[in-house]
Amino acid sequence: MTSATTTLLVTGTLLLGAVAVASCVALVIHHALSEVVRARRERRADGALALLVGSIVGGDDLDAVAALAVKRFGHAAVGEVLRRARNDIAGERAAAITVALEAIGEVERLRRRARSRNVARRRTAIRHLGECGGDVASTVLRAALDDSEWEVRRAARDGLLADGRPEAIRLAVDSYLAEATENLGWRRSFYARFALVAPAQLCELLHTASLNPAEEKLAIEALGHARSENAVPEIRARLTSADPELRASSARFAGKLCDHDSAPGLVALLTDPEWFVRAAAARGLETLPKPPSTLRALGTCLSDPSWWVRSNAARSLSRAGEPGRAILRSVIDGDDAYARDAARAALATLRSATVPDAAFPDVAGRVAAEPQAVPRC
Amino acid sequence: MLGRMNEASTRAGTPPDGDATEPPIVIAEDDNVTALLTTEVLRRAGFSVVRASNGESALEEMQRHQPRVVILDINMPRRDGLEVLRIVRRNLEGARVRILVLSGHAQADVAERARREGADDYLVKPYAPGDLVERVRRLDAMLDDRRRCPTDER
Repeated sequence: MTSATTTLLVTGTLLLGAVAVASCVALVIHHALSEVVRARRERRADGALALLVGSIVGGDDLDAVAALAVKRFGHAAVGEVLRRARNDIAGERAAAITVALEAIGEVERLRRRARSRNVARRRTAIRHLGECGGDVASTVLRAALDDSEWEVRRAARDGLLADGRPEAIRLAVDSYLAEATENLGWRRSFYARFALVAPAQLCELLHTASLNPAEEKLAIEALGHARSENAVPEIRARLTSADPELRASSARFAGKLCDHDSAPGLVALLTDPEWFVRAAAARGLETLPKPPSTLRALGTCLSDPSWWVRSNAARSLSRAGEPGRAILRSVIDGDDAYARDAARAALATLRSATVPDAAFPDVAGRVAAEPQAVPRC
Repeated sequence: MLGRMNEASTRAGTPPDGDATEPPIVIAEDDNVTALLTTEVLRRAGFSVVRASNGESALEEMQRHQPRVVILDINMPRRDGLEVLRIVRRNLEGARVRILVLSGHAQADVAERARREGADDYLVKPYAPGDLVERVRRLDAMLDDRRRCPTDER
């Protein structure tokens, strides 16, 4: 190797090392600066919150206090505190927060950012505008439904749902239906928000029968999770749907919502051709009244070919008092191995539920004296 | 990030018209904005409030103050709300306390899980301040009703 080559190698290695060291130093400085900025932002936001909290909850001087807070802690901190407070507080105080956000110029600032060419900036601005409420923000959100990027459109829909006014919700729903996304998580999330913000409007949408069965199923599930009593007639009507998935979801949530009038429909579904519908019906009956005919139908399910149906039927029987447990005991010594296993498992679960937790031996003996949990219907 | 408290619990000021002899309400909430707003709403309604910023300190505060009502967030560091619920409900003393879960919008399935774990009530944000106060009063009254039940009087 010539001396020139050696010099070249050494120089190259030194250069690479220098670049690596410089990069590390730059990273450390960047990290330290980010921490400083973050800590300063936190301090400002905490200060703004302490100053604003009383006026947010009850004062009629929120605009004036917000203006004072902007002078002390800056627009960003006050805007963040007010937006987040509006996420937590509803009613008249939310309207007062919206007025304050408009008064300090936060809505206008976000409106300008929503026109940015940068997608992330636009999405963040739209998301924040959705937290502001009010007519100005709503106008920007409506325009954003036609944005070229789905992330921005989704943020706009969420904001319009949070707005809660019928027209805003209608626009969000139209936009969602036009989107036709395949992502199940987003679809579930949309209906979950919808069911919590405006259950009556979601029930109306179901009533128009304009949704396909897959969307109806998501809507039913969201209403059921939200325990919306408005949904009971819609759920009951779908127990006889031609779509088995929809029948199963309806059966499950009819039970969760304790709709006593859907008990005959659930009993009929115990003989459905699809195993998951039978399983859902057996589970749904757990919280509903079980006359002898229903107990007999559940007893028949103990011999179902599907493990889920047997297990759910046994579970429902175990929670039907002595008559249900008598059916379970009667099959324990029978020839049907399926029924025997399901009954044994359900009775064993029942027994273990009454055995105190070994982790709390000192209180174990006293647990029995406490009232037991009952199904909440 | 705004809203993450330090580990230690902080005690809210005693309310002007609150009964100092009554056990305070424990608010288990790691988010500063939600915690301070909720504290202010309850303080104005005459309750005294103790705050915990994570699941473990919530359990400690509950043990220390024996509260009648606890307001519990679900997403918290060091034991989430569901875990706290589970632990409290396993314990005999904890079986008596009334627990209101206060949580965010898109968590409807969490409401179901919280109910299964033993939550007495579930309030979704955004909430009207009056609604929160009414629910807390109702939970508090339920506890009194239970204490005055006929079997106890015998």
